[in-house]
Amino acid sequence: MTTAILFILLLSFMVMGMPIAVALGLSSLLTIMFFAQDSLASLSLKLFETSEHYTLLSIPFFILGGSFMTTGGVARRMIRFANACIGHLRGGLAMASVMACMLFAAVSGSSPATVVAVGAIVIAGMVKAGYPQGFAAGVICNAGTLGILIPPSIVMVVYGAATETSVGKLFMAGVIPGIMLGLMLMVAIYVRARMLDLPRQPRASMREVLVSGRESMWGLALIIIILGGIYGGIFTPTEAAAVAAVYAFFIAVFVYRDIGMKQVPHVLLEAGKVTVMLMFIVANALLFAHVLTTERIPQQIAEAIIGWGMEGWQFLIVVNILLLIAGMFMEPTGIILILAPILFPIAIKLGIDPVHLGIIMVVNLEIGMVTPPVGLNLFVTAGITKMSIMQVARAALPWTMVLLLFLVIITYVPAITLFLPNMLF
Amino acid sequence: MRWFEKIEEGLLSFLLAGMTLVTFAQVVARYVFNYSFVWAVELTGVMFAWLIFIGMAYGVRVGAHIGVDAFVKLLGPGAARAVGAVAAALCIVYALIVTYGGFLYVHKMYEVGILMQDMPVQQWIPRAILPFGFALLAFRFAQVLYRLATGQDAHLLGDEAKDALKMREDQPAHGGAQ
Repeated sequence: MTTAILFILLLSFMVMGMPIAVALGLSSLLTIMFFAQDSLASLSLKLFETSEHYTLLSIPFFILGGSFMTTGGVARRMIRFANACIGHLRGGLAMASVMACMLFAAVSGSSPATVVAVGAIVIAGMVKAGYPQGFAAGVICNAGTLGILIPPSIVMVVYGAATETSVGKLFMAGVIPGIMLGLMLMVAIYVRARMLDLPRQPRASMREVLVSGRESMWGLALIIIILGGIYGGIFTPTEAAAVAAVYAFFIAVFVYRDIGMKQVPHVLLEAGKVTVMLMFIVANALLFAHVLTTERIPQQIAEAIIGWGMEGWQFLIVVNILLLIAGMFMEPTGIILILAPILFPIAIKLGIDPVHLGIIMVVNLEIGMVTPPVGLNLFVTAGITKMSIMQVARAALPWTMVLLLFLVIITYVPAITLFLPNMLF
Repeated sequence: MRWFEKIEEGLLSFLLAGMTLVTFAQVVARYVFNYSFVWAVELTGVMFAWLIFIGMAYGVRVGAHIGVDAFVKLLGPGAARAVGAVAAALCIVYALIVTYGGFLYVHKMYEVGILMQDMPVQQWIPRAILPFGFALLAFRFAQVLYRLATGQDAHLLGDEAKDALKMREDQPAHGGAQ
């Protein structure tokens, strides 16, 4: 009963167009005030405690590092390198764009940021080279989702914080799936490009490959600092994020010189804005999850599902369907904080690895970002191309099929996810 | 109000830069000088809290908070504005509830008078940002409600796609050249 009211309030507030954070917070507050004994003071403290969560502290740092990388010409250098490597293949410009998304995802923890950084340059480039605009937009919209699968990933940090899973392990677990999804998209592009007879670029000289590779090395070193630092035990994920942010600042201002010191306060404020937007959702989603826990909802659902005698693989089908639907309407961080506490205990009882569950959730939320009505990548791609959201959604659909196929593989072949973290940790 | 907005923006940039540098300095101190600041984590936490709870209201002012506006946009302009006004009023209720709860909490902390763990500062001082920030949030939502009621604004939420693009002003997007 209480739970029904909680969710009905949440949905009505969201449909009314309230900010997601406030919809989560107000529905939780009203439910607790009418059905439980918690004092208002302790509820307010719950919101405050978000800022004392050490793992979540890495989020502003990852966002700041990403902002320096986005504002600077890092993406442009990565695109040049990717073009030099594989631009000469049939459909090479599109494949190189996917590769550039993979490279940029390794310095950014966000999907829409990846679409903006890479897409703003390559979509126009592909159209100029004779690709249909829908083709270019659809590819980038989907390839941009790699931003949250290839480490660093803000969504993984949030999952790690919500379930007390090691962020280092989650990051490592994203590497092989991320490369695999990138390659799957490239193969699909190659097949489609042969059918459409899309152009190829002249083969780049070995010198161009080396020069552009060295140029983008400065940016790519960031991922080595993050993964190497965490794996080598040199610093915690939070410290790694702070070091990465300082490094990104240094590269953008002093090495690439794409931005001057004068623009730094502007970058800081933009990153602060994104951080606040995200953390406001996180704080309220934690309050929402607190209501669910005090009502013992996760335990009840867990008991029910285990009572039905559901097998692990059947449960994972349910997880995928639930997340795909939730992903259509909600933003990834909120979904993780609300659903992870419910799904996590069941998965553990059924013998599913927490890291594997985390990657499954991330891949589902990637698909959520390219499905309407709420898909951040769709909005951003529509903004870049001046296409309508529905046009982008239609253009993205064939490539989203590749993502769905990938989801099935990731769900039922845990080794792809777990190989690297199990070998290293 | 312009001076207040300048301070607000400067403070947010300062807090983000500050928490990054303190955490970075902590790593450098540990490896280069084999030394560790005991207060670093706590100070970073306070700056993070201030960033979030001052930033919420700033987010309303610049339209940074995301939500689902697909359904409201299906309505006619008049109905959409009415729904938006109700939503804004509910947002004010939310902000006021937390302001009050936060005040009760901070007041209790003030009476108990415990110090922070690693810094010689009363616990209630950094936490006073909670009622302050939510009061500011209520004020910003009230401004939105006023603009909706007087017809200066059609929607409660900002446009995040346009926002993401603003970050790349240096390279204007030009699609549709087909």
